[in-house]
This record gives sequence, C-alpha cells and structure tokens, in this order.
Amino acid sequence: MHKTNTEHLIDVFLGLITAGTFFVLYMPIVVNSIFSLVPSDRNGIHWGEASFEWYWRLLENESVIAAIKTTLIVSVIAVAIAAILAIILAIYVEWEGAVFQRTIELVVYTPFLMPPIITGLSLLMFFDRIGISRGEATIIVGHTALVLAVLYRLVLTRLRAMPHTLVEASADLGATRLQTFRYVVWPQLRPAVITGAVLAMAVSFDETLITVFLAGDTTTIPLRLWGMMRVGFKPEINALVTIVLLVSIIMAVITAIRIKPAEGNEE
Amino acid sequence: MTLYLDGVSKNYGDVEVLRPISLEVSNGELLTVLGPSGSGKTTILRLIGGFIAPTCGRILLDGKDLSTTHISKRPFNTVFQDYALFPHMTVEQNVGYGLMVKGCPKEKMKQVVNEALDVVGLSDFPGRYPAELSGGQKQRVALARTIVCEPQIVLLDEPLSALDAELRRQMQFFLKSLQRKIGTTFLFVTHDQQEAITISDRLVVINHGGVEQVGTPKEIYYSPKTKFVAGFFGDNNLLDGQLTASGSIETPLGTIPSLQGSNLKTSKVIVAMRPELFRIGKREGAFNIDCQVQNMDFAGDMNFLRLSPKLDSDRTLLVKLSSDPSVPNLDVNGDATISIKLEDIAVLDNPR
Repeated sequence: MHKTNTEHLIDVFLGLITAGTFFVLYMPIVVNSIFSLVPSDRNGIHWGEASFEWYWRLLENESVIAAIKTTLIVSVIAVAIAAILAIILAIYVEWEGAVFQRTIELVVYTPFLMPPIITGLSLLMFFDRIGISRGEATIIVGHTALVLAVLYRLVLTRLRAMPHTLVEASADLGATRLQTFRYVVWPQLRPAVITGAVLAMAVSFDETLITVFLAGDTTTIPLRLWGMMRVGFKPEINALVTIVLLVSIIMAVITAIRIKPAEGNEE
Repeated sequence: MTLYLDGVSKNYGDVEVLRPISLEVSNGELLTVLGPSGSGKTTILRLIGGFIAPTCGRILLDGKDLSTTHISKRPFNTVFQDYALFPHMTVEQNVGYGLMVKGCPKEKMKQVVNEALDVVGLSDFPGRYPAELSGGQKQRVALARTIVCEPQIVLLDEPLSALDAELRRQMQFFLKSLQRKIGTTFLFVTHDQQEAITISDRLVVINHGGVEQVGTPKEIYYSPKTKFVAGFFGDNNLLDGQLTASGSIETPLGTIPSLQGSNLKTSKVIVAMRPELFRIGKREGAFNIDCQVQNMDFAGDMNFLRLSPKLDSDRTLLVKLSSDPSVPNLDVNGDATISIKLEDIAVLDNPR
C-alpha cells in the first residue's frame, strides 16, 4: 500500500523512539560488558589490550566463589521446595475444592507483590522471635516464599488447561491416585514446572533486598557485589555484573521461548 | 451379569438432578439412555461408573452393592465424550494403560493391545499420538482402551456427539457390530433420538431426571406411554382426546372408534399419529380426516405434506409420503382426505 508523507514521518518517529528506548536501556549493559574486557585509565581506553583477565581474577577470589556457591545452593533448594509446594497447592485448590481457596491464593501471591523490604523485614523479625539464627536456611525460606507465586501461577494455569476427564479416565482404567499423578498429571505439568523453575531461578539468582535481611554472615552474589562496590569500582565488578546479566538474560530467553508455545503440544 | 439400580437418585444441594430410578441392565445388551440435555442421563452413567456417589439407593452388580467400591475397582470402563485420551502417550500406550497400571507383563500387554487395535481397525497406527488422529480414530482408540480391561459393562457418554453426520452413521454401525462381536454389555448415553433408535437393543427415555419409558426401539417409537416420549421422536401429530363410555375417543378432528388393546387410566387422553403412517385417500375402517393442503415440500427421500383439517383449520397436520415419482403432486389449497389405520394410532394417558 502506498503511504503518504505524514505516514512515513510517523513511521520514522516511532522507529526513533524504539531505538532510543533500546539505547537507554541496553547501552549501560554494553558499556559495562566492554569495560569488563577492555582496561581503561586516565589516558583513555586501551582497545588493543582486551582480555578475560578480570574474569580469571574473579575465579581466584574465594569469597566470590563462595558467594556463587551459596547463590546456587539457595536458588536450587528454594525453587525445588517451591515447585513441590506449588503442585500440591494447585491440585488442592483446583481439584479438591480447597476450603480456604481465596486465602491460599492471597498467601501465595503476597510475598511476590509486597515490597521486598517488607517481606525481608517481617521474615527477619519472625526468625529473630523464634530464635533461628540467620544463614543459608533463612535465605532459602525467604526465596521460597518469593518464587512460590511464580511457580504456583504457571502450574495452576497448566492444570486448568488439562481436561479433568484425563484423571477420571485414569482412575476408571484402574490406576491408583499415585499412578494417576505419575503417568498422567505429572507429564502434563512438567513443561509448566520447568518453565516456572527457570523463571524462579532467575528471580532467586539476583534477589537482593530480602536476602540482605536474612543473610547473616552468608553472602550471595548480589550481596558480594554490593560489598565490592563499597570498596572501590574495579573492572572485577564489571566482570561479575556481566556474568549475572548473562545468566539472567539466558534464563529470561529460555522462559520466553517456553511460555510462548505453551498453548499447544510442547512435548 | 446383571446390574440393577435400586431407587438411585442424585441431588446437588437442593437441586434434584435425578429422581429415584430403578433400572435393570442385563448381560450382553446395548442399552441406551436417551434424553434431552440436562435430563440427568449422564448422571446415571457417572453414578454407575463411580465418579459420583448416589444420594439415595443402591447400585447392585449381581446382587452385590457397589456403593463403596472405588472407580478403579469397578468392572466398568468409560468412553468419555471428549475421549480423554492421554495426549503424551502413543495409541499403543493409551490402549495398554489399563493393563500397565495393573502390572501386566510387557509381552502379554503387547499381545492384548494388538488384538484390541485389530478389533477396532487401528493396527496401522500404534505409534501415533492422539493429536495426529482424526475424531473417528480417537473414538476407536478410546474404545480399544476400555475393552482391553475386559469390563462387564462399557459406559459410553455421548461418544459420537463430536463427529460429523456421515462419520457418526459409520460409527453407529461400527459400535453396534463391535458390541455384537465382543458380546460385552454397552450402556450408551445420547440425546440423539435417531442414533438411539438405530443402535439400541433397549432404550430408556429420561426427562427432567425421571424415567419416562423403557422399551425396545419399536415399542418406544410406535407405542409411546407418555406425551414426552410421543413428542420426542419424529414429528408426531398429537391431539387431545376424551375417552367416552363406549370406548371411542372424541377428538377435535372427529371420533375415533374404540381401539383394541388399550388400557387407559385417565379419561383425558393424547392421540399420537405418526406422519409416515398416513395415506392419501379415504379408506374403509380407518380414521379419515378431510383437509386442505397447505403445501408440499420435496425433500429427496420424502415428501413433506402440511395440511389443515376442515374441522379445526388452525391446526397443521404433517404427513410424510414416500417420494415415489409416481405419487402425483397435490394442489396447494386443494382438498385432500388423509387416512390412518386404527391400529397405527397410539393413544396414551394424559394425566394433566
């Protein structure tokens, strides 16, 4: 179709806004990544001396390695617990006609919707009251509460899309409840649980505020980063930020790809 | 095997979905539960299958009460309206599911599954997934999946409603011949009168949660016992009538001489006359009605003739005539006399 001049102008204008938005959002990321590879000082940027030196230094930094370990342990355990809870809650709410259905949903979604500072603080006060000392375990509890909403939502959506006659058919053919879950329900939920787990990992991986309150002496990557920045701005920080970013982006892309075809047969 | 529903009813809160019914299902028959949507027919099936528990009454299999028997332990299997095939399993896995969960050895399972696929004519697709099958094929998989479990009764919940007309006719024929071949009792639920009459050995007509009539397709079709049944099949011509002391029946279209073999309980009656049982022309010993022709529509295998009787010209009678080309066209607005043999007239009680 032939376009008038005004329409061309509008196209150009919209294109500029889009480009500008991308520039503002992603330029700092690009700059940050560049400075993790290329050294710079008062004399300018030394393009020719690009190297992975700062990344190697990170690997030698024991406190950073420990932080990475803690982060991984915390997110894997928190996501695993949240996944199991999400499946149980979703089945209870959707099929068993949960008594406090509304309340359950509210409880599940609240930690995700509340300001993290409130969630963190209230958990801190709670643990303090009942005399649990802070550490990995308390961070895991905090993260589980946070990511449960993500997993619950995805599992519930999948469960609702699944015809209940499948469960009836399974029982009708002589399967026990456990067999029905194993052979019929779980294969149907699995894609949603995996997608939810990746998304939850991404959330848990760079969660900072709740963690600050619950960490005690333990350090996760975001906390380590925060600590490093107070000492001084070194390219090491650029490197660590780039790693965090890359991991987050990869998980976001996986989630985006998996959520899109979720309507059809993803298996 | 005899299944007996003894005063079984179902309420949801204050809503009575099924009034107490008693019904016997005998060995090897194809029994259809027929009724309009919301009449409670699927409820009967779900009660027998064990998906819901009856509010009152007992379900007896060979005299043994099944009320506390879990779905998975009842010797019945269901073909669901949406087929309920497991989408992540192949045809073979779907059909073998009932055996797999009972721990059947692999070798035996493979053999039984192959036999079942053979019976339903699907031996070519054991590796396909349900999404790759047509509606009719899914239907066959669902059937094969139930028969490998060797149930005493196969429960079919409107299994053909998702199929198009042509496929539906094929599947009706297939279902009936399959049932004859394996000799298992089929309990079939449908809202389609034509389908019910075509495939059943016996019919149960349900309306508003209660049984209207039980009988063979011919009994139900030609000798309806209630107004609902009389009006449910075909385009029956229904008249209100009054039984006289002499046994004849006064109707707005004239008096019908006394009918043999009628055992009516009320003096108010309903007269039902099938449109295809009329003939054109006066006949001796038949019920003759003088009419004016409203129109005559050619519908391929039938001619639909609409007439208004001289005695009650606001009424329209429908007559179906064979579309034999030698049948002459009747003039619109012309006079015609139609007749029906007395033994072809059904008279039933009208308690209201």
